[in-house]
Amino acid sequence: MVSVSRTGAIAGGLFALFFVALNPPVVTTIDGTDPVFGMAPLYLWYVGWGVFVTVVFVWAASQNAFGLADDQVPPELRRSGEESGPTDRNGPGSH
Amino acid sequence: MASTQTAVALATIGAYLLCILAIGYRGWQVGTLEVDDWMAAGRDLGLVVLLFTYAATYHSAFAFLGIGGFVYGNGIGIFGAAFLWVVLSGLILWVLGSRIWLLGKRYGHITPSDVIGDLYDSVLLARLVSLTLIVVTFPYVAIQMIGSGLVFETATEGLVSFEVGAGLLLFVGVLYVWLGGLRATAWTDTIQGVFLFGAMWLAGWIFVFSAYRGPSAFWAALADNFAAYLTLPGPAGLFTPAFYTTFWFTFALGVTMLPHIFVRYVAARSPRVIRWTAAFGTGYLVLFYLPTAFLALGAVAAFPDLARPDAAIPAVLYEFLPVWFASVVLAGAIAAAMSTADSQLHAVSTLITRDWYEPLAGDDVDEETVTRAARLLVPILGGLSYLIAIQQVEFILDLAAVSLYNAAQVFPILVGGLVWPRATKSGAVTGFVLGVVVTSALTFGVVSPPSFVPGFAPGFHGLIVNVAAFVSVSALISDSDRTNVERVQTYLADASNRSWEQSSPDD
Repeated sequence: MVSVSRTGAIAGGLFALFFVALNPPVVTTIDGTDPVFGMAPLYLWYVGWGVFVTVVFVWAASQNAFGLADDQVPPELRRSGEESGPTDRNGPGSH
Repeated sequence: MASTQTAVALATIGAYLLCILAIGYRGWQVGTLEVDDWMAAGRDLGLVVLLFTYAATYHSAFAFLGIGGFVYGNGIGIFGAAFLWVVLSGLILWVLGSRIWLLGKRYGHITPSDVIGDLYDSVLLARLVSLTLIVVTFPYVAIQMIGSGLVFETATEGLVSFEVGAGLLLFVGVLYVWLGGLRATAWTDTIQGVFLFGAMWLAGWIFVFSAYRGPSAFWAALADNFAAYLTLPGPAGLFTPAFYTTFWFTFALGVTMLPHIFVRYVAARSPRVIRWTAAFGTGYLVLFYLPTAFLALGAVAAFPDLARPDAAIPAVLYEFLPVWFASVVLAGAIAAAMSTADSQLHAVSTLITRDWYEPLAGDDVDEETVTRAARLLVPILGGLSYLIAIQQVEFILDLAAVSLYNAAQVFPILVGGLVWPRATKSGAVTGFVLGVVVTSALTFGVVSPPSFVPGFAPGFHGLIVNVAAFVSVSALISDSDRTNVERVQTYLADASNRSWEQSSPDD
């Protein structure tokens, strides 16, 4: 269902990193309570990974890492004015 | 005579409701009585509206009240789980949602049961999925009413009772859903989404600076006195590794299959809109949770013996913030509840109309009649949900989990049918039925898992049984007619490969 591209593989790896970091056994090792940079360590861990995954998501979307691009929509289903042109095939996210 | 708090609360909530009604009325003015228009906003929602209607619908009363109660009892472990489930939901929205959009555009699907019924060419399976989603969504609507009624009662110091507050908000929600369908719902969600995000962020930061002179002092005070709330598994020991992992995973699959989220997949203008909604919507949902920790943990420190944990955030707001500002913020909580309840009412009326009314009415029924039937269902469904709500259940999250665990059982058979060439109707029916039965039996305590099984969330047990049955029955019993599965999978593959570019005009 998803064509594997280089950006897709990188994005997939970064998302996997996020899922590993916030799941046991990794997350359960963050068990101190003394503030780090003024925050509880577990909260800081969550904030850091939350910001990380948000940036990854926006980057992956800009690269259309997982499809489906607008130029993969069959022409008969596109709205008027959205027919693909020669530049559509230059790369993902060209619309 | 009403106090300042009550007067400000009534004025703020009143102004908010008038604003929402005006937007809903505008949605009605531009809408039509065509099925696609009322049920799927003409499949033409752009980025801004889809982004906020996705985020606001996703964030229900739970995000504003339930999570406060959850942190109050179990500490901050819920935030990690919440980040995980919103990110997985965003990925599902992007990867699966854009394919569902394509199929909806090609074959006219709107609901999960539309897709599954077509995919497996099975009226029985479509009806089973539809019935399950209808049944599990009713308590979920009630959750929103419980949340909004609770806020109304707290904000007005009991002048407006829980029952009256929930009823008033339900009435307004029913009115604009009835009038404008998904378009009105999505437009009001946009306002509600902006409002609740701004309210939560302002409230969280103002609280932490006014009550503690900043986050550093806040976290230090908690570390000294309530250290168990700042680590896993939390003060009550709930977040064991097995429960934590299976809870967020099942939660994410369940949310993405709930009809009020699913219908947004087909309402987008294009796959590009879905992609960016997934990215920005996930960012919105992750960032929303950050200041909630201040308010919920603030309640732990200030009110260690709250009778109703769900009232933790309202209690902090009124204790530490100016009354007028606390009332404005609580209107944000009402926005969170309404933006989900309206979408759920719309989605369930759509399910009943598509899957039950249309087949009974026959081929002669026109689109206007179908749409009128769907609209008529909105107040009826709202009334039924209200009856459930006034039974008053203690923990909002428990109710949500019942809904989400069962909705998650749709995911394996949907994705299996889209990607696995050997998927069969027999396998899908068996997997889905067993998944729902096991989940329900475990959730309601009819049976207990064997002692050697780790403490998984109940819905995860259902998913294991579901997938095992789906795969094994599909592998063992080959359906004679698999035309539709092949047709759909071929169509998606052709789109991915842009097959029309290789076709000659003579093909």
